[in-house]
Amino acid sequence: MVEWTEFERATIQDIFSKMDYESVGHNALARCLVVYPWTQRYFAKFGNLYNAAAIMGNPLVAAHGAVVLHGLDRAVKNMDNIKATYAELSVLHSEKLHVDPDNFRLLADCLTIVVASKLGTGFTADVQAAFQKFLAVVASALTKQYH
Amino acid sequence: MSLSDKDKSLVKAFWAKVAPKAEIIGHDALYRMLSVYPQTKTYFSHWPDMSSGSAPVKNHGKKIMGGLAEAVAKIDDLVGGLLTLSELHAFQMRVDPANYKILAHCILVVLAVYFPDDLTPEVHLAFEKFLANVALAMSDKYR
Repeated sequence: MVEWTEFERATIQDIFSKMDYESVGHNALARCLVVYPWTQRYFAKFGNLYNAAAIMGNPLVAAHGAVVLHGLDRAVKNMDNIKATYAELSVLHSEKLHVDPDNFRLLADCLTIVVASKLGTGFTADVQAAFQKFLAVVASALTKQYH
Repeated sequence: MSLSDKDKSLVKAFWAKVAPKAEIIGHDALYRMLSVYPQTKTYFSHWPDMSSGSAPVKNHGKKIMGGLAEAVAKIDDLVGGLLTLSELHAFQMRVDPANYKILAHCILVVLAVYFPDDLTPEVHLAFEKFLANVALAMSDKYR
């Protein structure tokens, strides 16, 4: 069972309640595809990913970024039960999508950078710690059903 | 993942923009590392004060950014250029190389905080590669 402090709970709710899911999702996924190009292996059907401009402008990337962020929302709303909440999604990522779980960490890092750039100095060390802990719990839950 | 000419020019251009804020960045990145990754405090147990704004954190943040400035200047030969620093970190300080990745991430977060529009995905890619290569150069003499 993950223990959350009041500060951590409040911080996560605060960040996500103010977030533009579409914009942040788009930017985080596109950044991940640019900064860690091997992640493009999962998006062969997305068409033009030839360079950073193409990736940033690709509507399929934007749409999928939003899907991922809305998926994160489930954890935001069920912070005390993230493992169970993601059991099905974990099976999906393992059995159907065959995603190497290390990619969850890479996407999490990109998401952290995007949120840091939106919040500026409001993204203090304590806020960063809470946000990264949350993403680590999500990544762990998504990896749980891999075998 | 070696640095291309494009990477090097992106790094140099970005560094020119961020250098004026080097002290703030260095302090913030180091404080974040100590606070978000408390295991890194083990290397600084001799510091009387590790709080935000404290003298040891400020001074050491400045030193780190000075080292990075040197790395930017010697970007064409990081292993040779950072030889003395590598020996220091390898033989005297014995910093576990995994920590360079942690510090690099904290530096990138601080750069995102202060230069959100300049840290485009392409600049992020180039700068992260640069920090990874600095980490490799720093670990070069370990064994």
